[in-house]
Amino acid sequence: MSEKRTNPFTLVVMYVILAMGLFFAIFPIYFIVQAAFRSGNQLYSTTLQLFPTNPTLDNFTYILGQLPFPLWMWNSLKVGVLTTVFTLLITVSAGYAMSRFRFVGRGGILTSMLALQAFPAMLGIFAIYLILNSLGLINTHLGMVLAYSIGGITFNVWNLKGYFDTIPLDLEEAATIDGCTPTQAFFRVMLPLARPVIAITALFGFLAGWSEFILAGLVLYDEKLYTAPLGIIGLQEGFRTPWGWFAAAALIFSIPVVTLFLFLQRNLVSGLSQGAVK
Amino acid sequence: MAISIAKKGAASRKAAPRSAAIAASPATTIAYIAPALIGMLLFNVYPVLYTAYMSITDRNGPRRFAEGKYTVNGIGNTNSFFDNFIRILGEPDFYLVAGRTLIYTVISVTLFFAVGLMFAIILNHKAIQFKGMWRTLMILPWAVPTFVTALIWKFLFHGQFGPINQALALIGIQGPQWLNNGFTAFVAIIIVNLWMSFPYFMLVLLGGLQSIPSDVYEASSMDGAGFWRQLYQITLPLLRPVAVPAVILSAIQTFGALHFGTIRLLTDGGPITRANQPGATELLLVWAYHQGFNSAKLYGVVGALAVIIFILMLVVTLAASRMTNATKAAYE
Repeated sequence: MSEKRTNPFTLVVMYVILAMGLFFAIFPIYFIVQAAFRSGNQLYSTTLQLFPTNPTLDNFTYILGQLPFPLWMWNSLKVGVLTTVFTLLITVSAGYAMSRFRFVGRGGILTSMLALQAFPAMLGIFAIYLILNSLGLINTHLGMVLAYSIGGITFNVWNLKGYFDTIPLDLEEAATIDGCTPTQAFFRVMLPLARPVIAITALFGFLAGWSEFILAGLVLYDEKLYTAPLGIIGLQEGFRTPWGWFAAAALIFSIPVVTLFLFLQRNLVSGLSQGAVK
Repeated sequence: MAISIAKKGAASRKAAPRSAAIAASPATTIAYIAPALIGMLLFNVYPVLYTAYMSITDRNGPRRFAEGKYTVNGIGNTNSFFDNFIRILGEPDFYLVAGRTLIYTVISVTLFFAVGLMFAIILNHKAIQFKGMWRTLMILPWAVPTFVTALIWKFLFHGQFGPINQALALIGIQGPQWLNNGFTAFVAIIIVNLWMSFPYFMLVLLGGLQSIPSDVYEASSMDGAGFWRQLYQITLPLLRPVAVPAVILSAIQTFGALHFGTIRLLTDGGPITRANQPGATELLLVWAYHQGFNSAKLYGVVGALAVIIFILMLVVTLAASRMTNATKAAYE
């Protein structure tokens, strides 16, 4: 096949399918981008309009100036960054230990971590609410950070362990012979090698804090503490509020996420050792 | 011949680096795993136990059963110990919802796989130009936050203002009120789910395809194999190690969790097509959630539902991991 030229007809069919796929993938994103630049009443036309006739920044100036949107973004950033830090602190060392150390109960812990992932977390949300309540963490960002970073432990530890398993032991053995303790070998040799999986763990931790909205909606009732998703979902309720506000806010909110995602796209497959779906 | 080469390729892929142990003192081990274990006990184990406890109590009502004011079935009251479980298993709605969720899962995952594979094969073809650009643009939907996805599509599907129906109107078709009609709402949530999930499959399968040596295809071309024969005899068998875990994981997540967020925002389980029946898109978790967190506050029933779903998912997960040996390899 490699010697032969590709049949032109096949080539055309492939490009047509690709183009259709690209349209399917991109149109919803394009739609919200252009919607952000339309004035409120223009969106609710009953005929197809794909370009804003008089592009305007009104939606942006409104949400940035008249709504507590910047504050919500700040809250999301705070919760996202703290969730990332907590997640990494808790899970990376545990994943490494599960891969490299042998201790009593290791198999049991791994099995229960796998089993716990089968529990429908949404239905345990009431119990999480009660725990946060008894810790006095309702309506606080700290409570959410704890719930997010700990909620991801079972998946992350398994994923990290799977990745560490694929790194040959020789490197640490060499380091140990050179006089490193296991902890020095972990920090100096393994962490740099595990960069893809750490990047993915961090990315998903950040995304959880930045964009989760169900637990957040249950735990936060003070509008000043809202993370951006709560605020933005509120903007969209009903078709009475201008949809352009929602579009502008969603656009600003999504840009950092999409950028991070594209930046880390090469790690997406290699960093997910057993595969995970968004 | 093609088959024998294919098998050789599969065998060489499986050669994973060995993993072994490092000597660490008990104190080091505890320091490494204690934070994760403590967190797990608090936010993973405790919610499971608490929910399981609810499932054997009579905590099924809005006000009378505040914390501390309910009793264990069969001990503090005259109910049967398994009262909540009996209620659910005797509830026709449960089977309706579970059946719909299963159908939804099968259709969704089949589509993710087929669409992901189609684009992966094309993007792996040597004659395609600008592969990186196509791939990057097509994984964008994966990067869009779930709630933004749901709300964009809610607008796209709007009967009057949504561009989908407006485009249909241009070619003379009167589009349906997508989210207000049982069947089309079901179709709509599958489309949305496909939109956000196909990029993952595309990436995973593309990774798998890239690891298939091209001489395998050359040899089979010389044997005169066409596209479809190569697909069945080479591509699919060689993709198995990557595809099977991805399909199983995705199926488990689609059935047991992933539909929740999108459906809550798109339809919240609606529309209700028949009185006193679950809505057309009220899939398992949404339905279960409604039992507990709508006005009825049937915490006992929700607990029992959680336990049932948990057991179901656990059986499927364990069977699946046996099947793929994915976890077995990880234990070595």
